[in-house]
Amino acid sequence: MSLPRIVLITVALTILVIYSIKLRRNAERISGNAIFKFVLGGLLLPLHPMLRSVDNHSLVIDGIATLSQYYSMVFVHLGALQLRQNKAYISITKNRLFLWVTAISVVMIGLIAIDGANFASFSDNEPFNPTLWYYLFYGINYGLIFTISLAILVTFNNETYTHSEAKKAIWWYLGPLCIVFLACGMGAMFINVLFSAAGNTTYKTNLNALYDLCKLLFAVAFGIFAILPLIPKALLNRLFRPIEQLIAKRISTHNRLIAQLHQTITPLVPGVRFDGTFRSRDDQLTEIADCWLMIWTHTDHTGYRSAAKKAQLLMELSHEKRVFTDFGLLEPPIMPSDEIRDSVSVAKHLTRVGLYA
Amino acid sequence: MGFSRQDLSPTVTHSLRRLLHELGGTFSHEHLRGYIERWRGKPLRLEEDTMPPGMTGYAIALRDCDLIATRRGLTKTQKKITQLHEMAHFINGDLPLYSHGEATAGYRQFLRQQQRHNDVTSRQRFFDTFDDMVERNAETLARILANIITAHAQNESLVLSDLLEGD
Repeated sequence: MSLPRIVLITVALTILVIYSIKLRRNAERISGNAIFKFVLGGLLLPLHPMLRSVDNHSLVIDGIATLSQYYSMVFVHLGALQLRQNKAYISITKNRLFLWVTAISVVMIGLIAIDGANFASFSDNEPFNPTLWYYLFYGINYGLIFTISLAILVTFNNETYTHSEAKKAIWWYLGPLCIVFLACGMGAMFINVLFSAAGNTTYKTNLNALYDLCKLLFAVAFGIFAILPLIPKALLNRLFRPIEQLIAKRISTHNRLIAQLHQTITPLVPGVRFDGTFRSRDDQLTEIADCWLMIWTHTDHTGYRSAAKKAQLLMELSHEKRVFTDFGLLEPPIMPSDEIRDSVSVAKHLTRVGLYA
Repeated sequence: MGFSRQDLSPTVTHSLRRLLHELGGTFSHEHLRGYIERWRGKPLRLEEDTMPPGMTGYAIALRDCDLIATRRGLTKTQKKITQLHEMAHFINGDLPLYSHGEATAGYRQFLRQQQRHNDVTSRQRFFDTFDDMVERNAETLARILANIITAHAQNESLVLSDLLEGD
């Protein structure tokens, strides 16, 4: 069994065990039915690689190996869905994903039956007979795994943990990261299957290696993603305290730089200042953006795309003691989408050239 | 927040009292939009439009809807404050039910007009706009509304996390 597969199974089983323990400890009504799904998924999970590694391939062995892979994922998805929806019972047989997987599984078993024992794992570089059925089988196989993995990921995503900055950052980065790893891995395999079907096997080993790497990274990222909600709140807060402090420090630095930029830029366009005072960071950001809008109607913006150039322009305008009271004729550009980063970068450049003490 | 009661004009105070009565202490952007729609009895469209330099947004009461347009390519905060500024005009009662009385165009007809930006209530920041009491009230209300909406989002998240993460 390959390392990514071992890591994947270990991570998945660990998550399932922790989820089951947590549910039992809470002694909730929900627990029995959800645990049943997790246990079922956990039992089926190692079956696929075990059966794949046997030397004797037959319709029964390949069929069970294939189905165990799909159904283990579906059961985990259903368990997580039940937790997410806080329901005492979710029917397995009435679930849409389960029904879809069952329907496609029938097709997969049919493909295995048509092509006999020709289902050596495509991703393990084993020798196989390159028939249409073989490629069709693996094309559908990776599509199905991608769909179920995505469903699990979406189900595990829990937005109730977003109040803390550090946790928010973890959720915001880990969720999309998991999707990126998943998409890269599955994309590599689809290309691999297509290339191989077209007779080009030059990149097969490399694409398989990329798939294994993505699988490994996905397992690690998803592991952290799924385990986070299970860690007790007190421990989680203690774990995140250093990150919280770093983020708070960063926000405070940003606020200081934005305030400094606001103080530098608003004298150039005094009309934007509301009451001559600034009240919140949003007010400052709005007034900074309004100032840039005004400046760009007088100055061709094309030469001032970088933060350094913008800082230089502000320095020059400040030294010339320019004041804009009426807008010019030039069309302003699209304003930066990340205004905080843009303002902070300009302010940092102004600090570097010594405008701020 | 930075505003004291003495800073607020009677118009803004009255608008805030109405909002407090109708929507409570904090509310979301969507709640506010729904309130304006219910109050005026027609849909409120929030869109982007090209407009002359200096104009960041405008509002107009059309025959079949109210329209708030913001300049294309504003920053997120600038767009939010501009939309709230224009919403504040509706809340303060600065716009009648139809901006041009009987001659008011419908939405489609208005969009076809080349010179549509001439007769709208607009947020232009560069002519000492805030010396005008109507604009000043709208901007004051917009900035208070921005704070209320931010507080609402934060409180909602805290309430949810306390409820669901408390074990």
